[in-house]
Amino acid sequence: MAKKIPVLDLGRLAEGSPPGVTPAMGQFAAEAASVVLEHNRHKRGVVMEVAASRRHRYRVAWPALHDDAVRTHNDLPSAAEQGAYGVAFLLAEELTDFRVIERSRKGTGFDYWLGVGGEHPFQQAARLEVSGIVDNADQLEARVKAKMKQTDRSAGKLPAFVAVIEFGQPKSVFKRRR
Amino acid sequence: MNLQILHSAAMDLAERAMIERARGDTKAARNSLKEAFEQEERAAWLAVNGGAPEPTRSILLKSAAHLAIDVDELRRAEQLIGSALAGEPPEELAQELRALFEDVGFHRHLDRHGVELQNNDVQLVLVGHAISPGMADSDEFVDRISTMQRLLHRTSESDQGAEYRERGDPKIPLRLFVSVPRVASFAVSLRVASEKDQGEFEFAESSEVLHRLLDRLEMFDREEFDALHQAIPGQQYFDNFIELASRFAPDGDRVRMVGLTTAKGNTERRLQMKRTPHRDNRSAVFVPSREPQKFYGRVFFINTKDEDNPVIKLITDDASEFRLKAEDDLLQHAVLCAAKRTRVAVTGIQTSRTVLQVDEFQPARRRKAAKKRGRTERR
Repeated sequence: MAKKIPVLDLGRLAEGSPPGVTPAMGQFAAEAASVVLEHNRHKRGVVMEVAASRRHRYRVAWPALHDDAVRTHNDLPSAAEQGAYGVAFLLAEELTDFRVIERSRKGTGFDYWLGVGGEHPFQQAARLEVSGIVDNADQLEARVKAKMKQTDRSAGKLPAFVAVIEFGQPKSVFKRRR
Repeated sequence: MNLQILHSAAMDLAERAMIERARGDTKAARNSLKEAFEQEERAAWLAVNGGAPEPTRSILLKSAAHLAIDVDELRRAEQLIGSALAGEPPEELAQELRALFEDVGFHRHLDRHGVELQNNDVQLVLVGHAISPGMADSDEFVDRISTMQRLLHRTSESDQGAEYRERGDPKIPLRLFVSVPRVASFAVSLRVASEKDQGEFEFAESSEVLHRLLDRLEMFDREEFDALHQAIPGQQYFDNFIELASRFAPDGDRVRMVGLTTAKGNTERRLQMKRTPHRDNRSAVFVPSREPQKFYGRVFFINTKDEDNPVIKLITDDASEFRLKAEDDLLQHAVLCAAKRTRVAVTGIQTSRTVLQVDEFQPARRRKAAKKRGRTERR
């Protein structure tokens, strides 16, 4: 009997999952991801390959898009970056024991932090470094390498997970940076 | 007031600002950001005064510094960054804090500090390892000035409908004049004019071409290639613009940021180019076609056991690969062609770099047979 492919439901992001992301932000990220998926002519339920410590497959589901969402996210590279965060939040819950528990401001966006929570907000937390690609399978490997190599010193590195989401195939890479 | 509560409130406000900006409400976004900064700054100083451990201390100070830059509180940003570096941040965060300190400097240099900019002037600021206060690697500086001049000429020629010039001197009598660098920065003023002391009216070609060029550089930095192609419809001019803009943009190391400040009437405009273009940016630029094209090759059906989303690919004769999207009956036809290993001619619209929306499928002659027929016909 064929193994059932689990579902990655972007709709959950608007419901307060994970705890470190507001429902409004979760919905924003889910919409962005949905816009890019539909730009690539994918239908709800499209299978996404995920390369983590081993290979996984997920059916990606998302709620129907309204016209405002398409207008808001008409800058596709930005939508891919935003949408990638949404996908990465869900993958973190699926593939690790951690969830997004914190945010901090970075540039015009945010750093998201994975952990289990504690007395001080960022202690024992790992940074989630995310990148989104609208549609270019060739860029996936290079983008992962660039994110893994973000600093060239081994001492004083913060623990981190790297997630790169390519919406064309679609395919994702989710790895811990050692 | 609790540090966690202040920080969470700040981040909720910053997220709200991001959504407000995306939906076009820039005034609301600015107000939300200002409030976010005030809350985050309080949380950061609470962390410092309360002896919060690293990395929490540095992360909060850095987060507050980013928000300070967002709302143009540059002095407060410097204080937050200085305090973070005075602690014991992990080296990765320390590097980011040092780069942020450079960003604050960059924003300060974009300020004109009383320097009058005419409508046809632009202030150029470079930041990076090849740049220090008052000095810059000549290659980085000279190359960018030369590229800027070429961009101005091409922009003017393109917009005036001139035939694309493969070589030779530009026909437009515009030149670029350069000031000496400002003290303690690498900021220079560039003037677009036919004579060096010539200030220009807002509507003069030299002023207009400068502002049009900035519009296009902004689109380039934001990878809005569709909009850029509409602004530059001629393919040769478009390709040339991409090549020149890639040379002008930061390389990510020696020059990390390129900043441009202009004034049009009483309105100041700032453009910060931070994106490092791909090495061969032309191959990274894809503008969806609206015209159907014909492709020859073979079809492959990749069995993902997902009946609702079959993966059918076309590998063309020149080894390009496309995923095929089509109505069910056409997809069924494609699956049959894949099974029979038939060479096909596929007519469709390329909607993205790797996706083809198929209108028509036809069997095609085998390549060798086609070539032989071609040779026979030429005889």
